[in-house]
Amino acid sequence: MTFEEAGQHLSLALEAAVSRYGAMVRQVGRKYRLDESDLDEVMQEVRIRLWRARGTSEMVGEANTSYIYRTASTAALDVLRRRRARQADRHDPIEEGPVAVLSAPTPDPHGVLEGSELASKVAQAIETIAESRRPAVRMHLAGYPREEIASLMGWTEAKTRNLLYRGLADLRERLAQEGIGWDTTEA
Amino acid sequence: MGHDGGVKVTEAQLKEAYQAHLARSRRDRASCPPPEAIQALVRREGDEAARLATLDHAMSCGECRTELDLLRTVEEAGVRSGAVAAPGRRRWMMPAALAATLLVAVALGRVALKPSEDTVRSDDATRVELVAPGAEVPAGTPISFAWRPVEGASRYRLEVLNESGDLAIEAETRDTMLTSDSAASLAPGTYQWWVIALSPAPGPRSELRRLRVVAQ
Repeated sequence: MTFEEAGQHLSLALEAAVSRYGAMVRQVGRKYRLDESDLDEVMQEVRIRLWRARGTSEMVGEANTSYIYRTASTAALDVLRRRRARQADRHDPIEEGPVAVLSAPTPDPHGVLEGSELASKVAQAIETIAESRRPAVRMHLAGYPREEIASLMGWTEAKTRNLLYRGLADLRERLAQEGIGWDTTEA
Repeated sequence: MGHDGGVKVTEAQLKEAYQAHLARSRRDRASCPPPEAIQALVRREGDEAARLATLDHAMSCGECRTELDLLRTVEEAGVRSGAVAAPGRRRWMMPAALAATLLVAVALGRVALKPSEDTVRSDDATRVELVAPGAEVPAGTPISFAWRPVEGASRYRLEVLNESGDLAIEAETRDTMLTSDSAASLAPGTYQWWVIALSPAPGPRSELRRLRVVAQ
């Protein structure tokens, strides 16, 4: 095998490894309902980094998933840093206006006001929950299942259930003080 | 609950209200935790109080929440592909190629690769975790050593010490596995071995693990 052929084989092997990992990223990304463009941006960054590193001693024999994963981890961080820098450059005004929720497809003014008030009161009430319980409540209300809360924080199922139960009880009590009754059927 | 005459909502409506609030919220990104802190949360690195604070922010900031999910995706893909162990999980996650190599070695009967009960299973994410060989290996054969990758390490140094504490084998590799042919010349007896991560300066190391070379 010539040197050029070896280089070509390394490229093909790398491309195959990147494609496999990229397919895995897209599969997981769908679970989190991420935009395909976000995932493509990360994988494109991975390819650029590998292309730049081609031929270096670091690359020799590194066409494996572990190397691709490490490259993707740092690439993802850089993608986020660049995105934040672009956002800062745009100087977007901070929106803190009322939020229309719980509204029908053609909302009436009363419904919009009610939804806005509810969102505001829920957000305020959450702030009063104990710090140890608050993230679990936020994740629950954001739609994450209990298993994901436990997995992310490394908690046992029992600890997660306990923190969530107590946190939701705190929230229920606070909302009741605000005149909002809450029909609980879960958690 | 003592609620009289106010608004009555269901949990589904509460979630809808919160999610709408989250989707619409815009913050000054300068107050957001850096991407590295979100990655530390995903990897369960650092103390729990710091990770809780990061999570609390991410779950109240639509943009940080998306960033969290993006980094989780990269991490989870790494776990599913076998490139890295699940954060905090006490189970073996070897790269597929390494696992295949070890299986072949076992099939050939050259080394005993089953992890022993005293295999290091540290919760310290920065420590090198040893995978193989087990507590005993047959004399007169090469030995395959394996360990889990450490972030930031560019190379690893394997050291095998004899009963006097003298260096019997020393070798370096970029991989997380090393088959030592010179180990075939080790006399039957008790040895100890460990792995030091290099980046390139010496960094985290494994615990010292006992290894008995048994005459066949």
